[in-house]
Amino acid sequence: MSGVNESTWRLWLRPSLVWLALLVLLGITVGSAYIPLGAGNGIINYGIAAAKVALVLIFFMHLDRSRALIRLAALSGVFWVLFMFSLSFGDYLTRDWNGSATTLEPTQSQMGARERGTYPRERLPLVPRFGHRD
Amino acid sequence: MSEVSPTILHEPWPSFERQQMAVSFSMWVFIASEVLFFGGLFLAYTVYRHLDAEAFKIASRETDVFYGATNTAILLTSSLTMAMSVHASEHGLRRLTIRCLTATIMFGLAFLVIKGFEYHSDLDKGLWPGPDFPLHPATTQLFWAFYWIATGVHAIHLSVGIGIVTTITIRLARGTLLVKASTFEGAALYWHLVDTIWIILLPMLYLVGRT
Repeated sequence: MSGVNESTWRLWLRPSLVWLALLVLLGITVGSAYIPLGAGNGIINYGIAAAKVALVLIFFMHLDRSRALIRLAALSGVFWVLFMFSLSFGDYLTRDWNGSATTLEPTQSQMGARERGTYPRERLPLVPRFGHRD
Repeated sequence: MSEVSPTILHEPWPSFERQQMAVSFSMWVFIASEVLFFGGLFLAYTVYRHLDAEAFKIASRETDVFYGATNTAILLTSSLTMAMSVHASEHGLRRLTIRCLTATIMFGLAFLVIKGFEYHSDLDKGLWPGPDFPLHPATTQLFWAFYWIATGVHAIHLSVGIGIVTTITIRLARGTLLVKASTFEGAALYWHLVDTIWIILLPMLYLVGRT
């Protein structure tokens, strides 16, 4: 039975180390959030989140021992999300350059409704307004 | 794989190895669809945060880091026990598999209970978007709308996960599911997905504007 116990212990070793690393990263990310680092806070927080996700994907979801086909299937979701983010921000981040601005203000027609008294301002839905900069 | 019991191998797979491959591959395709689903939510959050970063800082300061961090630790630990249950099942260790799966269910339930306390405290503070919202500017409501939708959808996913793991644990204990079945890997992939979504939600909801 000692053979079984030893192999059971070996079984726990690697997942436990991954778990320990995840908890250490959690401690660092929560702790660092209270230290003023400007843009560094966001970089650390999202960098650590990416590292934690990578640890789970590689060791807990077994991408380390998976075939190429499985790895490609796993990355396909991330691949399309990268497209979604880069195309969306290719728009939002360049609006100031091409002379239009986006603000979180009520639209003209909603403002008109407010002036007519048919719709209270605090109930106006907040939607991005796309228009020329004043 | 020649000595695998025929009850582990199901139609239409010619070999257990092919079946395992199909389980992993189809789960990853499903996970890709989930990544895009949550990716859309995360994109909306990022766009609005980009448009009004200051309001998101004001709004995020009202979330409770203690609940958020505790729940993250619990979910990370549940991923450890879930991963261990797969390793144990691969080695044919039936009792260890059942114990690890049971621990996973308990951690999942603990997460939901703590989330319930957190929701209660949030509602006490009146942080449900609407006319009498306590924070200003009004854009802070966008953050809290995201908070309720994202954590709510995540909790639904976790509840589904608890249901799946409970089902396979009972079936394993009753003997209607064999310890070396490929079912455990599929269930584990889903469980870890729910964990990774929470890992990303932690900095978005709890760690903004704490300095």
